[in-house]
Amino acid sequence: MRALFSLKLWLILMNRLVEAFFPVVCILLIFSWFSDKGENKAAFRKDSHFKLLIIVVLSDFFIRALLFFSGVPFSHRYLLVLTVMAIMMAAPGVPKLTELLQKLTGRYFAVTPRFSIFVFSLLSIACVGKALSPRLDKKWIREIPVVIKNLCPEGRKPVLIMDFDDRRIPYYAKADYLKFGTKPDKIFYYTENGILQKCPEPDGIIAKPGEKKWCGLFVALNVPPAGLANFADDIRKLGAERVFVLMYRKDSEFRELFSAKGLIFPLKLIQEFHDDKGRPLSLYQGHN
Amino acid sequence: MKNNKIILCLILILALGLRLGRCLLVNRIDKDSVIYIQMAEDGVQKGIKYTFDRNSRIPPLYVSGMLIGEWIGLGAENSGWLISVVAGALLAFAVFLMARCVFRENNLALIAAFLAAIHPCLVRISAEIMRDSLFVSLVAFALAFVFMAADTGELWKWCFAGLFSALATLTRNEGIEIVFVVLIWALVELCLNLRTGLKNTFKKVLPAVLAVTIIFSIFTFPVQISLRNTSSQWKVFDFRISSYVKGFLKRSEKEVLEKEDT
Repeated sequence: MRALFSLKLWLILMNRLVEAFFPVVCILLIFSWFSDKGENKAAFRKDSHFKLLIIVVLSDFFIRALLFFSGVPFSHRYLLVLTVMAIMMAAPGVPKLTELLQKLTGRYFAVTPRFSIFVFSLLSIACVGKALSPRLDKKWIREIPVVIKNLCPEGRKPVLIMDFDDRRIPYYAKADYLKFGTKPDKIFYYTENGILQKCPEPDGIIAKPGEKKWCGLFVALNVPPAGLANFADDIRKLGAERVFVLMYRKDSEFRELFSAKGLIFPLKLIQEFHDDKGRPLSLYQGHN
Repeated sequence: MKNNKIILCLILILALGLRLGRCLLVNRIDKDSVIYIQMAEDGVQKGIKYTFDRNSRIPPLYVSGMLIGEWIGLGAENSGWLISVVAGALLAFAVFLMARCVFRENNLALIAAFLAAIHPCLVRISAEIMRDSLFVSLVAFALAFVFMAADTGELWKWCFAGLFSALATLTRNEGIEIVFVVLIWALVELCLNLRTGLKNTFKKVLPAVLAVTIIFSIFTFPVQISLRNTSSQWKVFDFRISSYVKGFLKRSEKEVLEKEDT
């Protein structure tokens, strides 16, 4: 529970809440607090719904805080229920904001009953602008599959071996996905007795995603698992030209793995891509 | 009254339009979406028994919806989009129902529905092939029925609250939270009326608790039992909560920050 007393972590959690709620809703919540529109505050607090509202908000917040302080990877998705409750409670803030803007602008402009439409338009622009902003990042996720589909021999399904786990690329390329093991990946294999064991050396082992009770694990294709020494052979067995390899590293770094062990590099470099941070991704194709 | 209905319809159309618009701007799906799509395709191509081979712990509702879509020819990916978009648009209606109970006023309820329709986070999750949009809509409907039922005490509203919380749990395990909210509310009501009107309060909360828990159990535990014939290991109670509690009790600030960074 030591993490619970960390001011830094509480600030991070509050920041996540503000991001999830969105600044517009946060501002409306503040106005809502000072509003008595639609319901007298004291009467509202005596209302049975107020108790229920507090129970819902506190119990959901408690569970989210428990997840956050337990060190679970914390996404904004965990705050959706609180976001919906915040949106509901921010509603009285809109008439209060309208009232304030009417007071301010009344000195300079004639205020009409339709002023509230102006306020709704402002809110819409602020929110819809963010909601409909396109995602222009990670273009490589769509570019790489196009190259694979163009280069794969006609009538054959490509196989894509990657050293990182992002199944969108094989999905868009309509390829079978295999993992290229590198430290500190956990690759498993079946012993002769059918028992699942962890490979002591994962480097260069080609593995497939586990299924059923092994889903989430990677299981070596070969028994016993063979590393880089068998890589060229594996590429040929999988289909040579229909096999593509995508490494999240420079071409020279990948080739170095083979030259360090005195092995011939069995692939043909197709293209080097870059992610949004400029890190290289090298795409290769097998050959006979 | 008629004007309010028209405005609510316009808000729902706005919600739907924004979500469809967002779908057109999205150029890629999420990592988890690939697994959901492949699970639905496996279910149709290999048989329902093999649906959960790729992810045995996932609650079944969302993937089942995509499986049905794949089976009728719509495609698993398109079905995923459709479920998320429609659920996201209906969320505005759920927020309207909740806000109308809480504020006892249609105007504020319409404003709340409008905010839910245009909220960027809610629009974005509706354009993803993920469980979040469906989950948050089902939770919102469950809460709406809880608020309505707490007001009038009508049994059918408590039953619907139980139904929607069951459906939410079948989407994400956190949906069970609603049942606990009702239990806590019942305890709070009893404690507050310990000296005065305990009998009446008991008569009010007991049917509520029974209705919610029984309906919840009817729609969740039989699903868990029937999934035993497949590779699914999903359970109504997610026992990973014990590891979260352990982490909460043991982890230091440094360890939590390290996890945040990764």
